[in-house]
Amino acid sequence: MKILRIRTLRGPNLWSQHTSIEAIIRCVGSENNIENIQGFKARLHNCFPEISLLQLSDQHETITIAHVLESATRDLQLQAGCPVNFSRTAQTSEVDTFHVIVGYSEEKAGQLAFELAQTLCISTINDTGFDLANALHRLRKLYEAIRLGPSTGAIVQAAVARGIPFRRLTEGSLVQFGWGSKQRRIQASESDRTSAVAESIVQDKELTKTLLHAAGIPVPLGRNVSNAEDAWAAAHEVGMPVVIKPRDSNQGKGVTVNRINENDVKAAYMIAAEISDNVIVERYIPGYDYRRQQINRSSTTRSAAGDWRRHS
Amino acid sequence: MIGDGIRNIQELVEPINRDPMRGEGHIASLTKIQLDEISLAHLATQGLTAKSVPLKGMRVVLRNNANLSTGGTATDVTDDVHPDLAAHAIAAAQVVGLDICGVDVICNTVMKSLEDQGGGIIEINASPGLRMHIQPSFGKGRAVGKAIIDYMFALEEDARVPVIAVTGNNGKTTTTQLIASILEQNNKRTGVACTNGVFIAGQCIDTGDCSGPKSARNILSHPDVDAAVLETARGGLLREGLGFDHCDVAVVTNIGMGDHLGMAYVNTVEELSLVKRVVVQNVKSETGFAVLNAADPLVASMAEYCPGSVIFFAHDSHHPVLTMHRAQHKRVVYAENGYIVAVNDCSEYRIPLSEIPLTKNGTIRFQIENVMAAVGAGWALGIGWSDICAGVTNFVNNTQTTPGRFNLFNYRNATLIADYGHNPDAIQALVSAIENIPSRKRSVVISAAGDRRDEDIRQQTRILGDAFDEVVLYQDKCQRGRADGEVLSLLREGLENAKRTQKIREIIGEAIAIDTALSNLQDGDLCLILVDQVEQLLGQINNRIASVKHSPKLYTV
Repeated sequence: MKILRIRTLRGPNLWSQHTSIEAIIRCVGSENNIENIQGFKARLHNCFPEISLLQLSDQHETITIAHVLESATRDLQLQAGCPVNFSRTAQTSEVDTFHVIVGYSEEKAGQLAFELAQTLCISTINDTGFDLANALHRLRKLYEAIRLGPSTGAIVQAAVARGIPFRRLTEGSLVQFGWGSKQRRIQASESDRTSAVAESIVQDKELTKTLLHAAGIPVPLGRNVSNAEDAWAAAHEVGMPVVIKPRDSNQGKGVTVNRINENDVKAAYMIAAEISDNVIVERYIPGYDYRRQQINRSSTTRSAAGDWRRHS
Repeated sequence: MIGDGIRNIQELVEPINRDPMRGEGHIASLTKIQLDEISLAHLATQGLTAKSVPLKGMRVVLRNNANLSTGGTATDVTDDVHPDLAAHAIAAAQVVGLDICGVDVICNTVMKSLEDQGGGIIEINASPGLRMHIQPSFGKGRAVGKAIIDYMFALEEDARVPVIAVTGNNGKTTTTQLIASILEQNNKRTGVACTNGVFIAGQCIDTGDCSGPKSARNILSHPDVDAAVLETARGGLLREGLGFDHCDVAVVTNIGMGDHLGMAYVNTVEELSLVKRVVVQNVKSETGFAVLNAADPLVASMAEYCPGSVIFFAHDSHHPVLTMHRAQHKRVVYAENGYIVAVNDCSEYRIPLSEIPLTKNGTIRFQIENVMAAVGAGWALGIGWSDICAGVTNFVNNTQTTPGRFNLFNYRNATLIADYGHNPDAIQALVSAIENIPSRKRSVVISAAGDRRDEDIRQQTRILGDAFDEVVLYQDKCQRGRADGEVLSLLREGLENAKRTQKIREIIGEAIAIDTALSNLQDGDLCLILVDQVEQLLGQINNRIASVKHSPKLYTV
């Protein structure tokens, strides 16, 4: 098997609308009919039981190594959970030479699948064995690492449903929607109009509460404290029970809740102070955590999709 | 978690994590519970370790936060939310000034206002995770992705700008520029990608051959582009596919005898037309158009693959493809009695050829075709006729706007034409064009790209031999894989049965060849120079003209 050329088709192309890997393969010796390679088929099914060569035979073509490469590149991706919508093997004008085209959802996953499929073909011909589990693991891991995360993915899917073109600008979550002067961008669930100033405000939880309180929105009051003594003093000011937490923590690191006595409050201060130099004492509100997803600050155009969640 | 009096904490977590809904990180709808440092520290405050066995029914708190990313669950409560509570959340987002955010509230129930239960908003998150809203652990998923897209692009708003893709064998670049001229006339800041470079509203931002998908993507990413005209060449299409998913208008100028045959597994004109047809196949369904040359059978046959409508153009108003199309109440463009005529059932519009300098009063047939294609594209886009007309009549072709595309010069009262023509169709079109230009003696300067097939090289001089008195053959460094002298001998073979050629010269070096041809020019002669290194040689020609104190006068009918 000789690979004469590999191309990555990133847009609609001669073969389909789908993004695809296109290779030109020359079959060597009996590779132009796998029936002629002693024990090949049995070894192939042994190495990769899920491979579906059946689709090929209904075209009444001989199955060549190029066809096997096509099926393997496609089916390895499918087994690893990477969606593939298209694959094809087509004869070129040259003898025993074929175009092999296999779709991909993620370019690098498609390329890796093609490499793994080559290894599978070669090791099946030479009867040297193929570690399918490892191949699928590598492919799955790569795909999970580069595919869009669930938040960005949901936004991209919604754009696709409306026929809005999108283009990933990085391997991360920066995505361009639309074209030219109509384009917009997101990065995960931030839009290109998400205010940087607003972001820096919400980074500071105490400042955020101050601003909300000033606007008449109920918040658990609290204040910054400078040491364990001050923490206990603040606990008296805001009223028991209290929460002691770093000013800028995430995922609950260094947070202690529902404390009412002096020793506990002071001990909690020490835990929070390990995470951050800035520690807050605020009134503890009993209850559940709720999250509202708010889109567009104008209340008149607020999203019709309701979006409250209770966490537990 | 709740103890069973038998298993320890670690053993209690394991079966929960086997739930297929739980994955690593953010990918699955739930995340696995991790007994990490924070959890272990929290257990320690309750006097427990991962190996402790909680009593039956005992509630063990693994951590203080309920984030999905650390194994929490989410339940949709949207339909139960008290309006006052909702109003506070909206106001909170407004106060901090975030367009998209997660508002975190603590309270006992969402069915009452915050004031009634002593609840409060504890923080606001920029870049909130959407997973818990789309796929909550319990209750209804909500389309927050759609809500974000609908916020960014109002429902009636089109996120696309018009895209016009131009392909074909010859005439692509001029047609691309003509369409851009129409769009500019229509006050659209137009992005143009073609073999002369990339232009945004007339400003060059890239040079060289920019007829591939990368340049197309660059244009579509440019914030100042209201419309894009993209020359779409065979090479880029084969190498990488199209740089866009759909186009509003696909223009195919011609396929003719083809070019680049025998390269990249494309051996016949039929195969070449399959490649070019990709552009037509990706026209927007329903609203899109293909503008096709009815007189070129391979181009005309692309019509049935177009998901949108078709506008046919041809010189001859009686061409059967055109007549048939018109009978079906569809749009056609043709040339008749000195006018370009665009007609369908309900309208007819005419542009006099005498007002389109590019066609030299209607004498240059291939330029008329380019204009017809551009007029068709303007019509397809729904641009007003006054703008279409102004776009083509104001278009000037010279060494600045369309270098190497039928540039005319006056040199010592001889006519000089520089063109990039490099395939038999292009050369045939040039020969037909010069038939209309009176001249005493005709000479031509030609080489050929070595990567073309032998027959395609011979065919070029075969055509020229019947139309020119003198031929200057040259060989330059750019041999594209051919041995020394190979291209020259093929060109010579093409001249073997020449009907008109009397004199053949062979010269090494393009610049010297041009100098030689120019030195021999006399009053009333005509010289066609088939340039390869376009920019360099147009500079040379301009210098030559300047040195004989003739201003580089352009023909403007």
